[in-house]
Amino acid sequence: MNPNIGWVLHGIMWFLAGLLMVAWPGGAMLPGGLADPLLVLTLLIATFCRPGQAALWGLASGVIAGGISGGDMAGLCLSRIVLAFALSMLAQRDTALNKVQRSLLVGTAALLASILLILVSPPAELGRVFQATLLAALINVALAFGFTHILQYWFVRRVF
Amino acid sequence: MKKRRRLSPDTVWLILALVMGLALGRMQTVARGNQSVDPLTRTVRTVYLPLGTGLRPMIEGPGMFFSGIGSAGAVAQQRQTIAQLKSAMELYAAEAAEWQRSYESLAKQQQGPNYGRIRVPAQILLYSPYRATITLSKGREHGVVVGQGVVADGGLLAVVTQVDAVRCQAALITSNSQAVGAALRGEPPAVGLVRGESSQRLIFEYTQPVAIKPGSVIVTSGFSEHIPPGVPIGFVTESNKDRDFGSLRAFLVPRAKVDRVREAWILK
Repeated sequence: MNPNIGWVLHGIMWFLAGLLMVAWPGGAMLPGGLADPLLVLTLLIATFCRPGQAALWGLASGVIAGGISGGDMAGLCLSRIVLAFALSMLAQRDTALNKVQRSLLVGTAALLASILLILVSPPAELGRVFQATLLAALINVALAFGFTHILQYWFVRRVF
Repeated sequence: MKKRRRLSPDTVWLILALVMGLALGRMQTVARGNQSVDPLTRTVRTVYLPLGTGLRPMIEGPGMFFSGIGSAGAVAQQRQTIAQLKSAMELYAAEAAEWQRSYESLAKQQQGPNYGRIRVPAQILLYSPYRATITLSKGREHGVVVGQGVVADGGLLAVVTQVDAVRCQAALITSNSQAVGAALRGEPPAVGLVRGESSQRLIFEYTQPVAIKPGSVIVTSGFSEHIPPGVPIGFVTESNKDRDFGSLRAFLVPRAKVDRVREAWILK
């Protein structure tokens, strides 16, 4: 498939993931955890592009998430930029990531993003949020697996 | 001479992204300090919120559908509970209306005239339509004696015929075995006896040759040891003269009707 079409399709999917955050607010996704399809897609695309681009995807993702939820935009942006960049670097080093590895990597990164966010701006009910975060990580891994399937088909592997 | 190391484009982008992230965060904090929303957040919300909100029913709909199937049993049970509550409420409303009617009747009677006697309130415990009698909740202990009048609903209802310690029985004026001294209210006077013909009709037999018009009120005459004068008995519907026996008759509708009352007053 033409990588440009892949980027367009990814852009649409990324936009829809943002819409999903409004249309299906976190808790409704699955019981117990807050799935974050926007974060998962951002981290996943980071494994397919250059680190500089990954950082920009992270920035855009932070802006959208912060804008929609009204959360701490700086914290969201910084955590996502750093993780997307690191994930891209890691993926660049190892070019033979299979779907499961990629999903686990993205799931772990999503968990790290949540933990980073908790550290940057600690919530009032830390225990409950942490529990929800761990459950969300499992949901995010499952989401990542589904998205990897699609993105791997669009980009084959790294296209830049 | 030290060789100057150039930053890679990726690192430059990273630094730029981080700086922008911090700047946007700062912008958000400043806007919040001014109790407003920063332009970027406003733009994001303008784009995402209307679309996302419009999308919500499409996403929530199937979930609600399956959730509805799952909770159908509970819904049916709730429906049954609501039906039970509704019938209980209707029963309660009917009872409340009955109590209200009873209260109004009592209040009306409380305010009614005592005809110069002490009024003993009594509850109608039993009504026998075939014998045209009622059993009342007051007896000898309350000063009730045979022959006393029982008033209710603004008129004479019955006459006490049997008394025991705490209860008494009274024959309704509609009973054909009961006769009460009666008189036409107003001029010219006509005195006679009223006795029952049916549960809805009384007969007033009098001797004075006066014309009694329909609508006239017949009251107790007072020619009795226990029943005072002036207690309304009924309204005249028609009057006629029996040529064969030479008696004069008027037919009345009783003023007090037993099916409308639950309480009565014994005139002591």
